[in-house]
Amino acid sequence: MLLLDKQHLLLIAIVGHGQAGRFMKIAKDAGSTGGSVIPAKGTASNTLLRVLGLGDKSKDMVIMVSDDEHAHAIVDDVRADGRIQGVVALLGSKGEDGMATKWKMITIIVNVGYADDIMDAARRAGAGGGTITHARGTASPEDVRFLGVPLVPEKEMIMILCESEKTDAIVNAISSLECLDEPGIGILFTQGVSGFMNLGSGK
Amino acid sequence: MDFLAKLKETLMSVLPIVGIVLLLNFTIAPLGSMLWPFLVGALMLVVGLSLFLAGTDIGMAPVGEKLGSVLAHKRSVGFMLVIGFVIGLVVTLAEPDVTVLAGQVHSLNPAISKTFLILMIAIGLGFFLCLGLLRTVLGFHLKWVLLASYLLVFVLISFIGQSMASISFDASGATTGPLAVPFILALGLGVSASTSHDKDSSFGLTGIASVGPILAVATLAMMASSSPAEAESIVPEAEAVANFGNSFIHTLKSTTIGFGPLALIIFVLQFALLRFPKIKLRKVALGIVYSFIGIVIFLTGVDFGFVDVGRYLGQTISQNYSPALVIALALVFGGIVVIAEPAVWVLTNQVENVTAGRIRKRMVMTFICLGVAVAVALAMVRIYLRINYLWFVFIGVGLALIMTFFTPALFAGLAFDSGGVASGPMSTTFLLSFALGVSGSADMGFGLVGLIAISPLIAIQILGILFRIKEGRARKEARHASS
Repeated sequence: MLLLDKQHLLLIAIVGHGQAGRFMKIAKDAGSTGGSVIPAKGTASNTLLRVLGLGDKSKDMVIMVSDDEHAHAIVDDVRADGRIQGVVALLGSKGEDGMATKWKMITIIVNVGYADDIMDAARRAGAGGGTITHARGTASPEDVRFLGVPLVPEKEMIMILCESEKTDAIVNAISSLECLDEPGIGILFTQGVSGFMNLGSGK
Repeated sequence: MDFLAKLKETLMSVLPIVGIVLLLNFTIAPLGSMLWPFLVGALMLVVGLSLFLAGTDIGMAPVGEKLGSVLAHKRSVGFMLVIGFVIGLVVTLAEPDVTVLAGQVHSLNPAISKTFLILMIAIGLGFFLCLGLLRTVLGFHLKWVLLASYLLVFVLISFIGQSMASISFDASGATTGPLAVPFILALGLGVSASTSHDKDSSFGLTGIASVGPILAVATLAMMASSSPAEAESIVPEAEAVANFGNSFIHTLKSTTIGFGPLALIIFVLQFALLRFPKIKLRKVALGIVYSFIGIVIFLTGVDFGFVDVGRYLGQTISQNYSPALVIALALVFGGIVVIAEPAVWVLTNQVENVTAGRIRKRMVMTFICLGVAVAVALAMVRIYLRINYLWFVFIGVGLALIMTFFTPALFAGLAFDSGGVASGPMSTTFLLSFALGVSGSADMGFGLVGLIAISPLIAIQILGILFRIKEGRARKEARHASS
């Protein structure tokens, strides 16, 4: 059954490692029909840890599709609970395509191993932080094989939430990275974010 | 990753041992002047282990995975095998434990030359590492490779007597040091991630590779003499009594010798194959340095604080109390000491990553603990009853091989990997010296490490079977619910 009668949103939450279960439970109580949890890596804002190379934190990424009304109920309930730290973004605005949004999400999908350099460039251009997940590509048409076994290109997917006016600077910084010169190394796209808020009371 | 979280985790994993030893200290076995070194050692374990794990996450693990992926994408079998063989060879030749082991073998059977033996072990490991890489690419089921290899091992060791047999099993543990294991684990993951199988072939490379040294020692022992001199006791060279400076220098030296060549290979590979971009390269290099410093701190702590305590506890308690208490204590020690093994943490973290959290690391850890607890208790029983070591090998490994037919393939690989992983620095020092303290002579103490390596093969596969039953039931319920 295709649900066309209501406007649907994509809800993406990035929460602490192990908090996804609690998030899903609250979301279900608030009317969510379900979602997916993906292990992810967050890059911390602490400069010292980052210089030492110890800035990465394990995160859980929760993805769910929900109608407008329920999506907001879910976010409200999670915020009211106060025990989950992280951010949540709502993608896909209410029939107002083309309208400028205050926040944007930049998504980069590249061959594995470049995420750190990309995050470094993005941060220099004003990004606060980002989330990295592992993925695999499927696009290669000529099905490269080794000993009869098809090879899978491994990818990293990097998501960065930023203010709309910083988007261009960040995108430019990433696309001018020397190590990404090779053709076919990856893609980048941006999306408008209709809602974005921090979770957790801060403490 | 999150360094503070890691510090907390490792603190929780070292606290149980400290608790038990302190309890014994205040009740039946006062440590006296050994107490302070022990506490300092425990603290070093926590710091060293955290640093090692944080470093492995950003250093050795990405290097191994990337190398695995590059090897697969080069699409040249010859190239993959050459690199695999060279890595296996270098890692083994440099490992100080292998030299010690070769010394033991030589003293048991002078007909075997030390240098030749080390070379054979290295070739054995290199060869089986290649075999393991090939099977990972092909997605061939682990059980056939293991069945064939271990049948050969069984045949050989039934000819060579139990001292040699136990040493050949110890050889597999000695070959892969704490820095090489995470690398080989990651290499397997990298190759398997690049080839489009399901997750079944993610693990097992370490398991297959560790058959090589067993076969090498067993083969040589059989060829050299049909009746080796049985167990004239070989105590590992008595290290000078705990002295912080000595422990540190000794550890630093052996870790550097063992790790240096691997670091050199990685350095060369960076230019030839890996080509990490700038920022990533910096992070990887930092990670490798952290792992190195971490493991030196860890091993110094073990050497300085734990070895003497283990031996002392074994002696005192076995002399003054009943065997039942010793066996009960061994059960407890086995279960809690293995939580502090560095490689066990690396493996269980990877399980969680590979299965995206479907198999929880706590679950795997619990079963490894149970397995090792039973193994150490059995080792004590064996010391009291003087049971032939071969029985344990035949029954234990035989059972493990049969179980590969019933357990999910992922768990079979995991089980054979965790065998080599569980017998790390904590068991070869603290537990081994406890066992030596109990037995009073060396010949019965040996074989403990081998038993520790065998027990997770069974424990993890039991977990696999339970997992399959539980998932089957859940699926059935889901089908009911939807219909």
